[in-house]
Amino acid sequence: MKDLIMFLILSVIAVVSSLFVFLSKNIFRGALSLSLLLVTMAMFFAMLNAEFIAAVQILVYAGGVLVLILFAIMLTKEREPSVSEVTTSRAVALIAFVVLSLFYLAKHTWEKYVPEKEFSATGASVGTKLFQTYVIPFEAASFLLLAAMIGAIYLARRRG
Amino acid sequence: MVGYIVPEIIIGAFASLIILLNYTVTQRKILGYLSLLAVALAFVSLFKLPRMTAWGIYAVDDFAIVFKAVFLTVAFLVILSSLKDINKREGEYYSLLLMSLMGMLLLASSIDLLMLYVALELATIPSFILAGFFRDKQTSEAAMKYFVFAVVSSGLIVFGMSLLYGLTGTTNIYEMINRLELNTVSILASLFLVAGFAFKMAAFPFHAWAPDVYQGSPTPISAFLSSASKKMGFLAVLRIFYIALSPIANYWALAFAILAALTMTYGNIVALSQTNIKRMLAYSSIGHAGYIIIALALLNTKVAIFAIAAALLHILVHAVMKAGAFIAGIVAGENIEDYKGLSKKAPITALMLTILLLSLIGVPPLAGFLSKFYILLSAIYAGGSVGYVLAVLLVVNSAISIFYYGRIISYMYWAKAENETKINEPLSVTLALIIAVILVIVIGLYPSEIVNYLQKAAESFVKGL
Repeated sequence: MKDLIMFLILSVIAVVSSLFVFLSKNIFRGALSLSLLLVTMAMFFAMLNAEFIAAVQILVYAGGVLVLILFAIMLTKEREPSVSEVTTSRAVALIAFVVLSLFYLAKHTWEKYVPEKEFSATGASVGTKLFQTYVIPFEAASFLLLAAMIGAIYLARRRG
Repeated sequence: MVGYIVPEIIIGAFASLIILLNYTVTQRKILGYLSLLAVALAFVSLFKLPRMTAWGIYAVDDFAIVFKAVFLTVAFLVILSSLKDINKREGEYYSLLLMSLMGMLLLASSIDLLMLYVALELATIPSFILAGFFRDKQTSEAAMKYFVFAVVSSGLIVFGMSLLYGLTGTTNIYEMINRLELNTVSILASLFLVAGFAFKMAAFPFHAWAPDVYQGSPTPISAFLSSASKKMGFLAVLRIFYIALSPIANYWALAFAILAALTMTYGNIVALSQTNIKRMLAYSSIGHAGYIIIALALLNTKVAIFAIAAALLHILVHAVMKAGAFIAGIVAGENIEDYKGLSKKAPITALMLTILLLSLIGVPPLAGFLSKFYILLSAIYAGGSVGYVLAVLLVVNSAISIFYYGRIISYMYWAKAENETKINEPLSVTLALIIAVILVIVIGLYPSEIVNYLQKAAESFVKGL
């Protein structure tokens, strides 16, 4: 019961804030309501006993990604943002997509495949997975970040 | 202990070394030679790799070795042909090229969706910067288009993968087979994956980015994108669809059959009217992607192993031919008018390009004939309406392709150029062309060994290690 009430409150916040993200004309307010949405998502994870993912969600998304978005907004402030109009056809397409996907996903029973029940998302178990089973993708991801960094510096650097 | 990952370690180490040396070495030539050395060393290490699976996410089977060899060969040709404009290319060029190559090598061995996705991104993200490397208007536009399309396709792929994970509770593709059932969500997941990988393979109707990007990028990078990056799509589709999604094979095989028919016909017909060589090669590359997708459409039939071997052969041969054809454009130019009288202006390039184009048409005894012939055979063996329709379309499209490839050959040998001053043929580019031509001839003359090995590779990957 307590969980249900908590879930309902969080759901309302999540839905309202995500609606606000694309309905608000002010891009800065949109970014702020996105941060609210991301924090709510972290709370959902915490409710599912995935504390580690909740912490990472706040660190990476609410922390890192959002700061990046705010920087991007600040750096491009002079330009007037072009807000696309909500036309009838677009609204119909959006609603149809949402309804259809909800319909398909609801019809399907997900409980049957709860992934890896014995795996608890504590720091230790995540660390073990990260540095044993998934050490190759982990190192590949570090090269990926390096490549992105080199590329960004190269593109931003002045010629010659 | 880490023997199975030696080629990737070599490439990664040299990529890091080159970016460090970039700020200390004044002679940029050295960086180019170092990256050539890295690719050569990695290629040699392929022969010594143990066949094994690590952590259940990384498999070194013959199938992976074939793709690693394709990627390394293409990278060698691309780096060799890049040595010409030493001053235009800074150290980042070679470093990013090697990092992208490292991602491809990792992708070849991935048998886990997580590993596969990280490797795919590692291979893709450096190539955005490479596509826009000269930072002028043309290459920046190409890079931007490539970025947008690649990111959208990655999004589709990740969504498809997350649905598969939700359905089966595993990311290992071999474990997925037993847990996957036919239902709306698994169909939805395979649809997302087909669309996402069709972008990577540049299959109609997801091809729109390819001609613009290949035309705008620096020419060696066009070769790299069409010969190596594009092949990643086929690799991932073979791994994911033939293994993990085999329980619902009848559904996606039909989707691939339709994609194959549309892609080869569209690519070849539009290629007829192109006047820019890089654009024409891009459309021809779309056509050839269609030929390879024929094999994907036959994965639910009894000739699946043979079809995979045929697809592997065409992937290998097309990578070499297309890389060579793009590289010839470095000397000859981009416009079709530049090719008039090329046999007088640059005789070696003209001769090499002629052999490569003949192979692209599928003239025996060159390798292009052989690989097309095997795809045709597998379509006929598979039979049924799908097999025969695809076989007929393959033959018709090969006939169409004679016109646009033949036009370049006739321009080079029989058309008069306005000025017949010699064009300088740089040694590195000529060497890359000669290597490509030798490969095309050798594969064409000694097919049985290679085909046997490819068949073994196809079997190894079906069974799993």
